[in-house]
Parts: sequence; structure tokens; C-alpha cells
Amino acid sequence: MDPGFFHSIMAAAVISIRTAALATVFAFICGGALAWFCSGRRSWAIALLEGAISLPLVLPPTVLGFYLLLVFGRGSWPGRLICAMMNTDIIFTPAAAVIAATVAAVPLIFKTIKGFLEIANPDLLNAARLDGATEIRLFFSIRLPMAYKGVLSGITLAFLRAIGEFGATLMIAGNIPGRTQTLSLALWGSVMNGKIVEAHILALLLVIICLVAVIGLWKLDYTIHTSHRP
Amino acid sequence: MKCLKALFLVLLSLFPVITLNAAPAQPVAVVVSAAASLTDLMNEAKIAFEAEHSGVRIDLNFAATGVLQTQIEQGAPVAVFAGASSDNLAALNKKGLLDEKSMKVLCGNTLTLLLRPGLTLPGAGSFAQVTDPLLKRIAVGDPQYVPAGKYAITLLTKLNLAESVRPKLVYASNVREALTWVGLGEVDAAIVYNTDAITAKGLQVQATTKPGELKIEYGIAVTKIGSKIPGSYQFVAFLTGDQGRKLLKKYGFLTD
Repeated sequence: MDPGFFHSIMAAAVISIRTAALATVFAFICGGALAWFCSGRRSWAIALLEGAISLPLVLPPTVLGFYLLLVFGRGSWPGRLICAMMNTDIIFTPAAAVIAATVAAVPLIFKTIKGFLEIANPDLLNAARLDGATEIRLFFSIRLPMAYKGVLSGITLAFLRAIGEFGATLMIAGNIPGRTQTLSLALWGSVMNGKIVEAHILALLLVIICLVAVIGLWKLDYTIHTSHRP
Repeated sequence: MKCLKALFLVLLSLFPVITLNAAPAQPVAVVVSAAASLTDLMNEAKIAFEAEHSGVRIDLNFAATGVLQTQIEQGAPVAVFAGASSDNLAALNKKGLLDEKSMKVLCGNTLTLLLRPGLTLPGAGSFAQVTDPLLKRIAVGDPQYVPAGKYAITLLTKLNLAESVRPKLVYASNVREALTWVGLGEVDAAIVYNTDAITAKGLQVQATTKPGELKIEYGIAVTKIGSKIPGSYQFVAFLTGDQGRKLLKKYGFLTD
């Protein structure tokens, strides 16, 4: 085992958690807004939009990464436009890792939140409207609280998906130790280089992080349930 | 559910902070895209180089050579490209993405036929044994985009065995994957670089090509983007110089 291995593991863990946390925040904002927009609407345009949002869920991550590379790389006009606007490169930066994880996580947040938004009781909403509540007030005071389970599970699933993101990240953020190398990428590198002990340690770390997140959600859900009993 | 509302508002208010934070804070760094088979060598070279050149930071990026090529074609900010095949460099140069004058052969390599643990073949070791019925599945890199696989097919074609062996071949997405498979006994044999075979313990080397028998050339070059950073040329000079050659030899690569 390399002497610098534990240092690099810590760096990868920090990058992984930071990337996944930021991606979850972005995915929550984008996915939540999109779910709000799409819930209760039925049209071909909405169906198309929902299909497009859900694509990262079913596409092979490398395909996703390839498209992101086309969009954000300086080899294409949208990429040049974005880079000029941001005044910096996107590809191979920590921001690229966040972008890849966000795009992969959005459909999970979108699907779960939208599902819960759509089961909100219309009578309740109309009653609030009658009392003069704005749609924004409605969203924060009724829809979102009623969808809290969807929000929580959506956030957790998104975080886990972001932690596990690999293919698209490798394509657009690269595999640069200390900068864009996440735990998943480091694990791949260890396996590829025949460092089985290191691979075991990294895999165990990922399992622990994911278990903690899942158990945390279960615990939170349980607490909310019990605290709301009269 | 006030807490959820609060959470949402906190997240919203974090938005500008995060966007600022996501911008790369580091100044000039030399991004080096290197073939997966160069991982250990490059990690050591980075440390040695940075110790000598305190003003330069090397950021290493590892993947299969074909992936690295696509990334550069799509405008990834790579300063130095070290690929497992000169073909990939030539393709990039054709598109005007490399500083042509900086293109160099980094090192050579040989191919090795490895057997899974516990398997032995009768007779003197040679690549002709790939036709042996004891070898049911043989791993090679995908010749479409893995240079090691391309070299393996070239070798088999040279030996007039390509057609008869084809049904046995299993394609790996990079050369190290082929090595992992044979190490786990998932395949009976694998054709990999000799430098990869050295890192694997407990595997029997059945045959190795002689230096020069196959033209296996790793290439290195500074990209157009890298040509604006003096550090890129310094790193290429370091790798192709005395110290670099010593390192390459240490990891089993061929140097002239």
C-alpha cells in the first residue's frame, strides 16, 4: 500500500461528500421546481419534458457523460458560450463533477416529489385559495409539508446516486487525484491497478457512507411520524 | 413542517455561495492526461517533478487512451497527453490540437500471455498456445479503442491465429480490466502489457514478445492549450530525460 494512500483516501472522501452534497442541493432546487411545474399538468409538451428529465435515470452514465462533454466542452459552440460566460473552463474542474452528479440525481428528486405533490387533497388547496393564499404560500404551507416524505426520500436517493456517480464524472470531470477524484473513481483506479487492499478499503467506506444516509433517512422519518401523533 | 420550509430557504440562500465556491480557485496547473497503464509511473514522476519545480503543479488524469483522446477533442483543458499508442497522438495532431514539434515517443512495451492462477499448459511457452483447448476464454483490450487490444490483435494476425482465436476472445474496456479478470480466474488467459504483468503476483507468464517484435510505442505531446504554459514542456522534458528514463525502466517500460 502506498504511504500516501490514507491522505488520498481522505481527499477523495471530502471530494465525494462535497460533490454529492452540492449536487443534492442543486438537484433539489431544479427537481423540486420542475416537479412543482409539472404536477397536475397533462399535455404532450409536459410528457416530453418529463421524459427528458428522466433520461439520466435509464441512460448509461457514459452516454450522459458524452453529452455533457459535448455541451460543456470548448469543442462545441454551447460549450464555448458557457466557458466565455463563466470566464473559465468547466471540464476537469470540481464544478464539472457537481454538474454530472446533479444531472444524474435530478430525476430521482423530480419523480419522488412530483408523486407526492400530486396526491395533495384538492379540497384543502381550494380552501386555502378561498382564504386568499397565493400559490407560493400554498406551496410552502401545504403542498411541501404534505409531500415531506417524498422530499426526504428524494433527497436521500439523490445524495446516494450522486455519491455513486461514476461514468459521467469520469468523462467530464476527469480522474484527477485531489481535485476531481471521488471515492468511486479512486475505487476504479485501485481495481484497475491491482491494488485490491485499497479497493476493499474504498468500497467499505462507500458502503458505510451510503448505509449512514439510508439509516439517517429511516430515523428521521420515524421521528417525524412519532412527533406528530396527538 | 416549519423545519422543511426553513431547510428550503437555507438551501436557496446557499445557492450564490455554492456557485461561487464551485469555480476553480487554483491558478495555473499543468493537467496531464495519461493512459491507465502509466498510473504508477506518473504518480511517482509527479512527486519527483514537483520537488524540483516548485512553481508548477501537475494534475494527473487517468483513463483509457481513447477516452482521453475524446476529452481533448471536445475541448478538455489538457496540457500534456501521454497515450499508449502513437496513433491517438497522430489523430489529435491531424486536428491541430497538439504542438507538433513537442510530439515524442515516450517509451516502448512488450506483450505478455498470462494464465489464470493454477492453470499450466504443457510444452514450451509461446503465443501459439492461445489455440490450446485448455484456454476457453482469453481476455484482450477492446481493439476498437484500447491500444493494448489493438496490439494483441496485430500480434495474433502476424502469427496467423486471429481468425481461429476470435471466438475465444473477451474484450475488456481497458488493459487493466483484462488483467483483473485473469487474476480472478474469470478468463483462462489474457494478453496484456508486460508492465501490467509485472504488477500482478501469482500469475504465470506463458510467453512474452521480444523487444521490437511488435512496434508498441507510447507517445507524449504538449497540446495547443498546454503550449501556453511553460510547465508542460518542462514536464515532457523531465519524462523523456534521464530521470524519466530511470523511472520508466523501474516500471518495466522499454527506453532506447
